[in-house]
Amino acid sequence: MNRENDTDYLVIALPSGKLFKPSIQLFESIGINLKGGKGISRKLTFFDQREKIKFIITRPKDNPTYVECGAADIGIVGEDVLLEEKKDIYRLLDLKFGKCKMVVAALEGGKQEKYYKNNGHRLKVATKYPHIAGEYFNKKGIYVELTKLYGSVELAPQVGLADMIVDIVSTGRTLEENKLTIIDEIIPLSAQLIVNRISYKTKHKRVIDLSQDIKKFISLESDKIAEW
Amino acid sequence: MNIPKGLNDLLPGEVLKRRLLESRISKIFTQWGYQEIITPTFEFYEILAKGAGSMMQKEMIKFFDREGNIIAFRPEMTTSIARVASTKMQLEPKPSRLYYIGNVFRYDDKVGNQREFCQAGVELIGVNSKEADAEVIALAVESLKNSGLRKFFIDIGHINLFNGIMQSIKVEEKRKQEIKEAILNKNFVLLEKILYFSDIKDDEKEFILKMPTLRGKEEVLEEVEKIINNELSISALKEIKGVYNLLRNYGLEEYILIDLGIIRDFDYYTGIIFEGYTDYLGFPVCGGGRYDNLCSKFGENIPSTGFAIGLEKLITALEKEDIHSLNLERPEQYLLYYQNNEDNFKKALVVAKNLRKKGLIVELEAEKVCRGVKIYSL
Repeated sequence: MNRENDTDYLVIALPSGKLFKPSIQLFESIGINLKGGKGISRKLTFFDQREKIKFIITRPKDNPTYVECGAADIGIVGEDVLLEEKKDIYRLLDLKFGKCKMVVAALEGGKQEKYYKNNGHRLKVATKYPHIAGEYFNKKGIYVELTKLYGSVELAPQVGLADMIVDIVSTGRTLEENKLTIIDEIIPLSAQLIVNRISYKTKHKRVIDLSQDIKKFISLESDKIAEW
Repeated sequence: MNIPKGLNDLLPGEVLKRRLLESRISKIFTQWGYQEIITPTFEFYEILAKGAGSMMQKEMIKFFDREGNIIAFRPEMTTSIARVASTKMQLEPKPSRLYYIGNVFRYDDKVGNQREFCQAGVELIGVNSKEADAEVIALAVESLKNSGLRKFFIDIGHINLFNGIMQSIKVEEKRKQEIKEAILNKNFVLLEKILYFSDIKDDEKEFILKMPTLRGKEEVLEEVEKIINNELSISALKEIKGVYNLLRNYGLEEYILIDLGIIRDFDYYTGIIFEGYTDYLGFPVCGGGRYDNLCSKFGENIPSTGFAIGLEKLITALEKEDIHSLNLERPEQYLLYYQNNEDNFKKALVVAKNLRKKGLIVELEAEKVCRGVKIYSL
């Protein structure tokens, strides 16, 4: 596709990872055929010529960046990403799937009272979300030292790298397996539909039509979607 | 051997394009009677902070000088020019028409993480009239047109449309702040939630949710007129209408849209606001509006309006629209070499002088070098 008709296409950025499958299912259920997502996860771009939609596949964390810069008109992103990093985008819909919670967790056997007492030294917290964690503990008035990790945060308390972790949980199984218990829930999260601020104006009708279709579908099927 | 994050060295090819664009734009500004002004690259933080909201204050790049003053790099130009207008040009007959082309600095430009970027813009100082608003918007259109951009829109709105609605809804102040913040952050998911739990009339809820989507020609005004009933918003609508009609006289209506969803980042706006969009950019290419209270922070009450164009953004848009739009027709360029021979050298000097007089570009070298420039044989 050349640049000239790039602007005729609605570019939708799908996140790879956990939200990929439900995103594909969502678009299929409103009549956009993505062939179940087969063969596109490797190619990174995919066209629907009839509907004039171009799908691109991004790393989940990069998704809002593509949308903010206008490389994509629409994106699907976990709320955790939006909370951690402020982006100048329209947040249009709560998609009600990819539901999870941002929590504080620590090794089993403790109570919140125990963990939230400094006892003369600062508490160590490991997390992929230093901004969210920092804000949370700030509001609570608890003095912590944050360590940014890029994955497998559950490991940190077991090896003495941290007293607590801040992370997202969906089923809680990973926490359990690592002998961690939730000591506080920070915020519930779900997938969000985001739109570039200019596309929201210049491609308004297409954006709104699409989001209305999705909205209708979500309210009909919200119970089922939650299971995805 | 690096430079700080977010800064750039511009190589000659990029500089050529930048200067070409600057000359196209400054030509139009000058033709409309605007005179160039240059203010310092950094100033006292205290002064620049007067024009910046709390967000922008955080984004300013600051340092201490030897005397212990806090200094900041300018994050935009309007505040500096308002300072000059109120403290050094306050006695000059009004209106003053001023323009600038200069670099501004922010920690986070949001897009591309650039910390230094170039803005070209104008300030029309000392008039509060719809004619002044229309002139500045018309000039924004002409500047973009003359830069070579073909497909773009200027959206015009008014700061008081939103303010009026927020004043008129009867809901506690804390809620109001939440609603405002959700709208400023463009978070409709949160906005809907807040409204759902707020004790606000249904038609007002509906309008708050609908407002950001109202964009189009005059029919938008008619649609809104039916809904709003607070004085502030009604007079704002009237102003938009007035400016729109004047822009029609300019013959520019094809470029203009009325847009009730415009939100500008700066706190100093008091009236008509506008932004320019192209299909090729995910963010505005230019923006501006009326700021009647900024100068009074420097001691003089001077109503003003203006706008700024982001030159890097405009270059990106121009080249996406047409890769050749910033190709400059340069005079022919020659290489003269004199084979390290003294007689040849003297001869070469004369030839070079004559060719340069004709307007050609001539480089002189002792030996032949290969750099893709035509060779001129003696």
